[in-house]
Amino acid sequence: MANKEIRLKIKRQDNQSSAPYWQEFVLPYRPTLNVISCLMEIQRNPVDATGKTVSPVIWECNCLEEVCGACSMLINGKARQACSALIDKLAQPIVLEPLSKFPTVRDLMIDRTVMFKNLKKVKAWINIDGTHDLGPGPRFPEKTRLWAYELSRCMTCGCCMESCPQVNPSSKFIGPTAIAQVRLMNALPNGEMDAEERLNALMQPGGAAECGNAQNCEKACPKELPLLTSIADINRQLTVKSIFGLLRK
Amino acid sequence: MSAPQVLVIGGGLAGLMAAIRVAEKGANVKVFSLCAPKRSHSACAQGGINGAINTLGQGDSPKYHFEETIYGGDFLANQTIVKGFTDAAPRLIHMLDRMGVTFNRTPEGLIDLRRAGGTKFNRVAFAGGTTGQQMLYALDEQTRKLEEQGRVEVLFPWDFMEAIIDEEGNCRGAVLQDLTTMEVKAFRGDAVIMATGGLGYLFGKSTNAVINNGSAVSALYQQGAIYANGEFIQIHPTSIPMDDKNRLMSETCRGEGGRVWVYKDGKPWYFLEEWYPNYGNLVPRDIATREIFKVCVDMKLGIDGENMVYLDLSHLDPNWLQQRLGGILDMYEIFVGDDPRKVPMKIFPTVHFTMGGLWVDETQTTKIPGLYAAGECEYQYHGANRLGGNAMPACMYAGELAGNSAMDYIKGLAKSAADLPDKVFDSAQKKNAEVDGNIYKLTGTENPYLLHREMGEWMTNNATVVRYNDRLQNTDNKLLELMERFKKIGISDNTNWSNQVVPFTRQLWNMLELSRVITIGAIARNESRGAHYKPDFPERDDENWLKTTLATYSKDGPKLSYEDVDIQHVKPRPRRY
Amino acid sequence: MSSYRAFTLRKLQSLLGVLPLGVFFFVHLTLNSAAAKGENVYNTVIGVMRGFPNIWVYEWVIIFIPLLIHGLYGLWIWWTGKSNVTRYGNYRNWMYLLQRLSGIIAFIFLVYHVFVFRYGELFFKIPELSFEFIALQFTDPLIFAIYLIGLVSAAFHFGNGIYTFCITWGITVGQKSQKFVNLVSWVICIVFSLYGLNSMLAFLGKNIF
Repeated sequence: MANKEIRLKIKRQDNQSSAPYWQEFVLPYRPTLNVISCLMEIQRNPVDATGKTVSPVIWECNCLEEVCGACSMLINGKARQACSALIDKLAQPIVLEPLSKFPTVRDLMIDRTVMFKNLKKVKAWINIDGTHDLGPGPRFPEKTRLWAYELSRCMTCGCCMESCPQVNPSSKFIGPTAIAQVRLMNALPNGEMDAEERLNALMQPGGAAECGNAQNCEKACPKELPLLTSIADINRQLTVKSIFGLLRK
Repeated sequence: MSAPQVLVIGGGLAGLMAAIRVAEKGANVKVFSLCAPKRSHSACAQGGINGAINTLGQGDSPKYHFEETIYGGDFLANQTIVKGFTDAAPRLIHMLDRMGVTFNRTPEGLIDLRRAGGTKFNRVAFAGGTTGQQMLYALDEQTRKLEEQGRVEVLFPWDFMEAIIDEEGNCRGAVLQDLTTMEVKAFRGDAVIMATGGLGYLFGKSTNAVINNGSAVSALYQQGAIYANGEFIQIHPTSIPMDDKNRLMSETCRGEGGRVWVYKDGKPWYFLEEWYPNYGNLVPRDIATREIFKVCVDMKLGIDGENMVYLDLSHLDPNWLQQRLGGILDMYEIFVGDDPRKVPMKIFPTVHFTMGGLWVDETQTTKIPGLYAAGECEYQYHGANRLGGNAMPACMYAGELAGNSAMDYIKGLAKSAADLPDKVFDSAQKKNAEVDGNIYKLTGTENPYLLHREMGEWMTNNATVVRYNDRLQNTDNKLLELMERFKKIGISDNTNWSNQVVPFTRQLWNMLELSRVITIGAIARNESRGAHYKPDFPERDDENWLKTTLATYSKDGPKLSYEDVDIQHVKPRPRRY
Repeated sequence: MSSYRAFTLRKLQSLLGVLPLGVFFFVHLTLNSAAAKGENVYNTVIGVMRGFPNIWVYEWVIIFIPLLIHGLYGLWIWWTGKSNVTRYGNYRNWMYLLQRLSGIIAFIFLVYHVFVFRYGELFFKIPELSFEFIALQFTDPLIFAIYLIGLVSAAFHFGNGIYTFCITWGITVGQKSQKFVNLVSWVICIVFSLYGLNSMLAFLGKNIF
């Protein structure tokens, strides 16, 4: 490799209310590094590019296998997981920023509570009677399961929310995650029973109708979830429900 | 009496299962976690969940599951409790199914099964290559439902510091730190259920998440809870070695037909198939690990002379592979850049699972009444080696059991935690706030992250696949040295907002204490059993060592004692695959 | 609190864009195409249209009220979105931005267009609408350009609107059907633009086909 060093430019912020500032770091190059290993290196040697000792950069990460969804950040302007962002594939200086659609807690750490609240709003769960022994669950065709499985891999990382122009401070849009989870829950044999309630939730302000079809979400999704088809399918369910619901009255 | 209060520490499979069960039984529950429960390490369990549901008609039954688990664990697990879990496993799979886990299906729409190591039956229910993720999400969704109903409260990121123990020796709550505001706070609880997972991060690089540091468990060990079978650390044979961590490549790769090989005399040599004609590539993890280690380290036949062997799926149909293993193959492609559907993967063993853990009885109760433990943080289901696919059902079973036991225990309590004087909680809070304050005051020159790396390297090099007493002794000396150097740490972040250095430093001390438990336990056990292998003592020694190691904390290091293993169902026999 | 107002408004906004506005757009272009047949035919056609009793009721119910709802609520939608094409330069993201821009341009243009051509006599003492008057207007390159921009914006907005309409109502769910309608939307955009441009040129005595 030509690069004998790695240059990082990191947007830092001390707390929720303080102003952000930039700091640069220069690290020795090693092969197979990712953004996380660079941030770990800064923890071991918290010195910025000017040689000044600084506090280590704060970020969130757990699994480092792109499964937990914790380490989302803007890397060279794009929302993605830091663990799967390999240094060899990134243009330098590598610019790290916190996701902009969520409140910043500190440095690259953000507060994604809103996503979990949204999952509550749409009742993204199966309303089981209890955890006691009720025998085998319902049968489920493998064909449906195949795409349902794709949706069940959503790790609430927030990349879709970040990329969505409809998600911003002046809109209440619930975002692609919750919509896709409604589609998943409504497709499961046990979940179908509460489909209407979930759709109701998506007809509230900020619901599915507020999708603007910019279609960034599917491209931004690190797990390549079929978000576009899911949103369209939910729209279909909503159309059927609203029109036939009205006619049934 | 108002509804009892239960604290659950940890939001993974075991913790959430316990929380759900306790909430169902009418208690108020607080779940504390280092991260959003959805981001817990359970999400990384790839392969699946064992349970003899026998949908493929192979004649499997919980009896075989039980026997193979005991045999796979080299007879170190207490048998009656394991029987409970293997009997319950089918029920747990059905429950998860009802919760909406997208398990792969048979043509008739039943739950499909695949094979894992150490068994001749297809017993693993799976959801693509990310079963743990789907299972965790199902429990997370149920927890969210209960949260919406006001029966569960989930708090994160909070770090466990200490249990609160009253004058009678009962656990009455816990002190935790809010990792955003850095506030140290005591919480009352009629029972506390620990579900904090394994300790892989203590080895620096492992397949575990960086939050699996064993700190909470170590804190309890230092408070008098006994730590059992510390020396039993599972090394996963197939991981992708990288700079920040070693990423897991699931055992199901072998279960689905993956073959392990290296070049020998210019030709592919399938050494596992040659050495183990019955099980082939599907020998249990400890054996696969040692053989890969032998081929690379002793025979110097690793790929290009490096410590790696091939794990080959390229002979299988790519579409079928995608359906069965999609998630993990994508992961390999993302991190390594090669497509495992086309070229063999390069893998090497790494630390994966903690068989040992807090000592608990058959009700999941630790040595401290009112304090329970479930999941990877306790010791009782896997013996000396865990079988693939057994972690998740054991977590679920233990979580459920801990929940039940805690509620039974609370019924018999004369006084609830809410009735106890503030003094008990205030003093615990004050003491821990001081501990925290003292870490802030460290102004030396040592960097805690560097100390951690050093500890991890020593532990990985000397206390994993192959163990020698002299090297283990050196490691313990090293640990003592690191504990000295710990006092000279300089804290690089003095703020009290979302500070990561201070809690990490606290956790580091706890990791050092646990490292000693592992090392000293390993030194003492002069035999080879399951994951614990000493070339100087290559045979299992049931006469002297068919015993559970119990480590008790003292200021001078762990004190070891031993307890007999429950072997009433299956008579120990040599373990030969 | 349960409120379906936002949902209903969104759906109404989407529906009105196609029905009646999109349909009327086509009818309008068809009426315009009479210009190609010369001054007399064109003047006769608008004469007939204007001759209907109570034409203003039709105009307001079918055109102006739907247009105001579609346009004003559309502005609100524009206001609550925040384009990010600089970060995410995807094709559809550009289309998202262009849909909003073309909508705003078309809306402003239509207000101007209606005031001058429909209510010009009423408010601005502009001569009654006729072939001659339009021809005179179009000789001013600025006005011609304004009309061309307005036309293309409306054609684009309608074409791409069909694409988003099909998703918003769950008609095209899969990727293949969405891709197909994407093609259709471009065909509509181009055909409508050329159809309108042809009529515009007819007022200047020129034809492209």
